[in-house]
Amino acid sequence: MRWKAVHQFVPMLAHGDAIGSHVMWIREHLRSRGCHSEIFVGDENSATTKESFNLDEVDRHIHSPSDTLFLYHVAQASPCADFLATRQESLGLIFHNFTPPELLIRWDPDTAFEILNAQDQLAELIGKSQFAICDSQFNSEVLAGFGNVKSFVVPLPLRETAVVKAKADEPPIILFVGRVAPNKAIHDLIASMAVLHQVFPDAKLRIVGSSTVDPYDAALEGLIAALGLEDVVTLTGWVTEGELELEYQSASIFCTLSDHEGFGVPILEAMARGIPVVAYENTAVGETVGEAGLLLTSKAPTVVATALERVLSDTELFDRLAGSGHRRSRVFSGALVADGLDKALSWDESL
Amino acid sequence: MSDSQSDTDYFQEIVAEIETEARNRAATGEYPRALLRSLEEEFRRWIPDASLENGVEDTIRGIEAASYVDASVPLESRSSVGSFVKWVVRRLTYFYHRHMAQQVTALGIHVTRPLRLLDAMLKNIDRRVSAIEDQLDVGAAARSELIAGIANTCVPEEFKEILLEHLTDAPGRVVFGDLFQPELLRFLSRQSVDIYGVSPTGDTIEAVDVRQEQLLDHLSHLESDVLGGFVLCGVTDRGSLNEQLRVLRLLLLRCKPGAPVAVIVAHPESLSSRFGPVATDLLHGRPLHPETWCYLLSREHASDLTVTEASDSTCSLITAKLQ
Repeated sequence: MRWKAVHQFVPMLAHGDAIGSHVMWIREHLRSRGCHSEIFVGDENSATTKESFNLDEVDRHIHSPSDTLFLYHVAQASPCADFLATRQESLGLIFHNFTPPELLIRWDPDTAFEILNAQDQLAELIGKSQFAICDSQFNSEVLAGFGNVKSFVVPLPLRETAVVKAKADEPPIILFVGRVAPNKAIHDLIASMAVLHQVFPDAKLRIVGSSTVDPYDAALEGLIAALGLEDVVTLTGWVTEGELELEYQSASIFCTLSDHEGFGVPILEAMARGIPVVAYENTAVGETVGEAGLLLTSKAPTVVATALERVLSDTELFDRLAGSGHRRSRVFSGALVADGLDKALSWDESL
Repeated sequence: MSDSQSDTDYFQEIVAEIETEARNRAATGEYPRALLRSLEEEFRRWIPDASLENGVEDTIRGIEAASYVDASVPLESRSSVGSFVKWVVRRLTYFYHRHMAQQVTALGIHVTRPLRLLDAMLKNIDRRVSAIEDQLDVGAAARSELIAGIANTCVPEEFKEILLEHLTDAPGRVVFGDLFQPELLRFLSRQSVDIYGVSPTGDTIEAVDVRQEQLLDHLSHLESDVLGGFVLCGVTDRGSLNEQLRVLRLLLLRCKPGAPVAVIVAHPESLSSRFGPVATDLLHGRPLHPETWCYLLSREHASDLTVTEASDSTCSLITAKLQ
């Protein structure tokens, strides 16, 4: 690698979320390669102040501008973008995609318009970027719409984990992991659960993730109560890594009906543990699941419920999904992803 | 066949089976229809966007899909030489095609972005309108049944001559609506009053012009200042207050200055005994008092306001001339 220093810029650094974990993983990888690497944030998070620096501290860490690469994680509007637009150092983008604002505008108009700002920032910044790293081919295609930049598809790395043992005698648990946000279509999962409950009265749905907007939380609570599913559906809220592992350990099926995914880390985490995946195919979901899950073309509650019932009652299907998912997850091992990252960072546009 | 290919085929087959089975179960009632109806209802209530039609969204997706241009031209050819030539050409022109393709894709995305926001806002409006419509429609079926079963007010004979005298020399065609007493229209027509009727039920009268439509619809299609006068009844007995006021406003707009106008209205006090308690409770509206009609007409500067009460006190005739 020709860079002596590669510093990352991220709107905000949080422990436990996909981008936060990715940023930390990249920093450790770069340091292991002898590269000077720090993390700079646009907005400070009190939980990660020891891991990151503010933008006004950047110059203190620059020793040789020509040997320094800045990597900017693009996911939301951030002061980082305005800061980087004024800098002379080489710039690479890591594009995580944006939640389409139209999916949020009814529930969270402020965020929807923030995303439009983020899109404008990206359009400004892309011209001065040497290259971009995208989590998925889908993201790469979206990025192409913002401007001409050499792009590499390098997925997010997956931590190694043990396979979960199937639980024969316990009530089935359908698991979803992710933010409780409108674009994740938690409401569709709840509706499907109402139908599944007709044939599997003891089945439970666990939604594991932090909430995002109050009106959507209230709508979900209202829907759950109206459908009489208070004892069936659980929204856990934010959980620690240990608690998340326990959720995976007790899950029978991982199900996502999300309307928009730029990648899908929880899908891979479930597959790595041998948990069968049932997913609604759209955006980057199909690309992430690959050949290793049931990809539904409709998320009508009757279709999803029938799919969940089929996986729960068909042992051969259950086992093949579990095995296939586990094999698929190996493609996202840290070592393979690190090779892809190194290749992107070694790319020289002058060659 | 590799494990992954074999799994792909197997899972695709299963998905096709699942989708067929789900359709069958919904059709045969194995998934209770009451449950599916309740899901739809609760979705409309809690997650309204999800239950709306997505025609605009599908169109936008179509634009986005069409505007994505793949700069990598296919290399397949019937001969290996052809394939090689294509590869060379693609290699040499890739920078150019990629540049053009990205501009087209960028255009597509920038065009669809405001459309998507517009779509979201329209859905928001749709949701609010649906909520209002739901409120207005509650009990609509029950009201329709009641209205169909209620006898119309019988216009007393003594009103015929008063109306004839009032409408003679009207400065144009007179509209009679809601028409519910064909005899009165026939009588006025035979006495050379230039009059026509509007009836939602499609009553026909020999040699008399009767339009089969709702009075409100009819009036909304007319130009202003085309009518020579009006006789308003029917809707004055059972229309909601809003309907009655809208009809009156349109009639006033459509009538020429100097037009004679007449309103026949049942006595509100007789409503309960004539309609019965159920209809009285459930109907949107009730007849307005003759004083109210006089007030409404006088607000529009109508002159010569006269109220004639039927001898049996069941209804009143209000006549006036517009300024």
